[in-house]
Amino acid sequence: MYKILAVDDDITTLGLLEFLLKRHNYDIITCSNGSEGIKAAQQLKPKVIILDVMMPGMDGIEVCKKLRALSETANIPILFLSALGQDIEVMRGLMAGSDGYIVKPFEPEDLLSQIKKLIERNSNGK
Amino acid sequence: MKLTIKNIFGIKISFRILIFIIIVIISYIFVREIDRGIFIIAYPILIFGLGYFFVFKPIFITEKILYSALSGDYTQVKVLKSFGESGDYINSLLNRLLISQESLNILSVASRVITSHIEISDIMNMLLDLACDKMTMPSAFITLKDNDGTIRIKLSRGLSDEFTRNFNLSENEDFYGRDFLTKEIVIINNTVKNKLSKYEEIFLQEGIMSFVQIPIIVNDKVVGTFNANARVKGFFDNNIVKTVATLADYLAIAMENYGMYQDMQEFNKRLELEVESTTEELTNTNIRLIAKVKEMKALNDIIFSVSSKVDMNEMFLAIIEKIKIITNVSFAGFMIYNEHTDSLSGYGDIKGFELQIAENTNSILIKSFKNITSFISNELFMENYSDLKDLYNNRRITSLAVLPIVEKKAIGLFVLGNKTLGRFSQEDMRFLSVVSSQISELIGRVKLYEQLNRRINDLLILRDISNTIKTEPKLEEILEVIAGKTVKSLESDYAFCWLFNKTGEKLVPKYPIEYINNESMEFDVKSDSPIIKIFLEGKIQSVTDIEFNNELDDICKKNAIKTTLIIPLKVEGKKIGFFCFCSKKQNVFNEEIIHLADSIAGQVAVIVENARIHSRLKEINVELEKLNKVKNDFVSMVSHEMRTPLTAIKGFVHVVLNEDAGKLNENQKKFLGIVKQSINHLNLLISDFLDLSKIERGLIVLKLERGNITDIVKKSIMSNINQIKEKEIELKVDVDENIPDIEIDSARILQVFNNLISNAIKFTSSEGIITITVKDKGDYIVSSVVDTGVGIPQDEYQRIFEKFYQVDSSYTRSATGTGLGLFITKTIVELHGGNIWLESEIGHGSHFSFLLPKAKKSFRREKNVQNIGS
Repeated sequence: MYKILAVDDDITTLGLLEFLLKRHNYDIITCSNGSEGIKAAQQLKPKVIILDVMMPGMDGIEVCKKLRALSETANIPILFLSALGQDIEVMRGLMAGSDGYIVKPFEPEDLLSQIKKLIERNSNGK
Repeated sequence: MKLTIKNIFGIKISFRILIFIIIVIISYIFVREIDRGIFIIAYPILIFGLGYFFVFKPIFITEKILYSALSGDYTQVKVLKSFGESGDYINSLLNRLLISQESLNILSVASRVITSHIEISDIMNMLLDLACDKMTMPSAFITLKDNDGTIRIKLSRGLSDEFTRNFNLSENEDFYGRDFLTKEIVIINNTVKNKLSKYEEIFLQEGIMSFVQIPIIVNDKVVGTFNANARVKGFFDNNIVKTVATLADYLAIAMENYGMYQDMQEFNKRLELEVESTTEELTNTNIRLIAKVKEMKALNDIIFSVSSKVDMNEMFLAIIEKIKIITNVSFAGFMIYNEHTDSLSGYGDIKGFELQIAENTNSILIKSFKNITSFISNELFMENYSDLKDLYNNRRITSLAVLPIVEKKAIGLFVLGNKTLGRFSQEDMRFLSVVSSQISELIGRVKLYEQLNRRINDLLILRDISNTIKTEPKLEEILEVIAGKTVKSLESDYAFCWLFNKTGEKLVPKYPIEYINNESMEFDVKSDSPIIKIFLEGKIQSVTDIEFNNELDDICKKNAIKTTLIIPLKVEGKKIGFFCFCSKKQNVFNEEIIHLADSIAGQVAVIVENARIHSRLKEINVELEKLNKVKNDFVSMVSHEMRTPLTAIKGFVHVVLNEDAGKLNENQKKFLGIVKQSINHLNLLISDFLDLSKIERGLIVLKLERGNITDIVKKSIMSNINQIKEKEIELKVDVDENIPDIEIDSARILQVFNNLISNAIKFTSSEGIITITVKDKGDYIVSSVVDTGVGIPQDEYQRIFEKFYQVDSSYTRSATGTGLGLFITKTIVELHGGNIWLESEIGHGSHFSFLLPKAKKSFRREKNVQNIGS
């Protein structure tokens, strides 16, 4: 069971992710703000981090950069999941060091296949 | 009697010789007898002595006499008397010789006389003297014909006055039976014998026994006679007559000569007179010529010395200097017309004289200027004109010449006064009028030059100003530059600028910077401040000791400001504010400066207004951008906010539809299916909205990759298939085989197809047909979506692609949507370098087509979409 960390301030989204990922046999941990997320990532070392962008306090971009800066979390694949779907925002997300960007609302298939890819890639890469 | 030795000595000589010989013989015989010794000594002595006295001395004497007679010395003549008859004969011969000699002398004297220049009367006297004294004639006289034709005695010698007075003959009067007019010599050797008619007695009374009358012939005409008289009969023999005739001839010649001489003299005199008069004329002409040349030279002088001057004042002064010298006046100047003040101002010696055209009625200067006439007066004290009186009383001008200077129109007057030698004459005026016409030419030239200079100056200043203005200047900077550049050119020390505020009620200070927000320096447009009054008049004005009625007054006092130039700024007739230039000098803002200010004012007003507009625009821009940002943020925020719940909705619907939360019955599946579609629809709407804002911000960027239109079409159909089925619309798909891949943003092209297809579905009633075609047309791929719906009226073909445009709702039964779909579709197609259009007929449906170029270069990869939708 792969661990997946989801960071989002919206509980409905977190609820959805929980159900979906559990349904597909992933072990999901949720955090509702950036700093919590970073701590959790450091501690739990998930396989993939699903990150929202628009969050109060530290936004997703910042979190991503921080995660990339920390040695423990630098190599964990990060997937942005955000309602901000405009090109620059996507670009921002990608340039912050993420490995993917999915726009809300999303097709669950898309998300699941992305996660799968990232895990496979990572494990292959290792 | 022949003059032989025998005749000369007569018998006496031969007798003497004979006796001598006898004596010699006798004495020889006698003395021989006495003594031989004495004989030898005494005999020669005796012979010699006798011989000398008897023979030789007479011979010697005779020789001597002959010799001396021949040589002209007649003193030995007396000796001849002792020789008797032969002596007498010799004497008479000698006398004749003497007379001949005398005659010759007389004649030679006479001829000499005639050749020298002596009066006729003198000649006549001399000839008469010769005749009477030398030729020993008792009397002689000369007659001449008078003008009336009477012949009268002109001169006489040895005659009584009575005779002289009474002797007059008329021309034709017969004299000795001969006409006077004959040119014959009359010789009368016996007056009694010949009949003298009435003159007989007179002649006899005078004792004239014989006379000769020689006509004096001058120019072949007898003008008189030369009469010589003798008291003895037969005095006049050929020789004497010849001599007298010669004298008369000489007299005639002399008279002829004299006549000719007189004529010559007369002629000479006339010639002289003529020559004199001609010479006089020539001299006069010469004098006039010289005067003319002097004039021309003077004119040239003036022009030359002035030609280098380009300043009007300098030129005037130079001309005045020269004129004074040339025309000998002590007072010279110009009165020049000033348009701005409508007055004549004095230059040169007449400086300080100012005449207002409108005011002065009794001024000859103004009169001359207005009527363009010249004026002279040599008695200024007698004139009534006010200005002349002024000149006389205050400047001691006694004579004055005034000439107008005309250069296209009257520009002033040339004024000269107090001619040092004499008075102003017509000749002077003529010369001066030539000078003044030259002056007007010069003035014209200088004016042109000045105009040019001013123009160049103005342009330079304007260029300077525009040079230093950057592309996006701020108003404060511009004012700073303008003020900086113009303060000096306008001869001022400080500059201020006020411009209308936004409401147009107040004039607020905008320059210098330190006064910008100073409320006390503001002016209410309705205030009585003198500055505002001047500003409202709208003309450039120069004011001395102005009052601002605010703290500026203190500033002005402190800096000793004397004059202020107020320049209202107008753009298209509308006042926008004014500039104020302050100077410490008095009377410094002259015509030139005002002119410069005028030409700059217009430009400056435009520049300032532009800058203001620009800064207002900038302000507005900033506000708009802020607004835009707010809007965009709002849009982003809203879409984010809306999408977040959508995520959950969509997700969970998916989960439930997937039967991950439990099995579903048919109805549940159906209903949830509808919900899912609605969610997608809602999502699309939100996307459209976001796209719009992106388009407006110019932020749509195409992600160009290799894409396949066939696949995209398929995908699009699939997402809309349910609706098609529901509406029972027939779908026809005609896609070419092997449509090549092209560089497109697949997601966006999908969006396009989705939009067109969903529109088609929306506007087609049930049992309609939707046809989708994709064709490879060489460089382009053309796709179209045709429906059999209500169609779109032709006049709305263009407008349907506009933002928010929806076809008139009466044509549609259920018009939904934001009206953005086609706008976005069009944008996307055009960003790909393609085109979209419509062919439609009302009632027959719509036929949307668009083409996409295959070639890369028509793609506009990243474009700021700014003009779409206008």
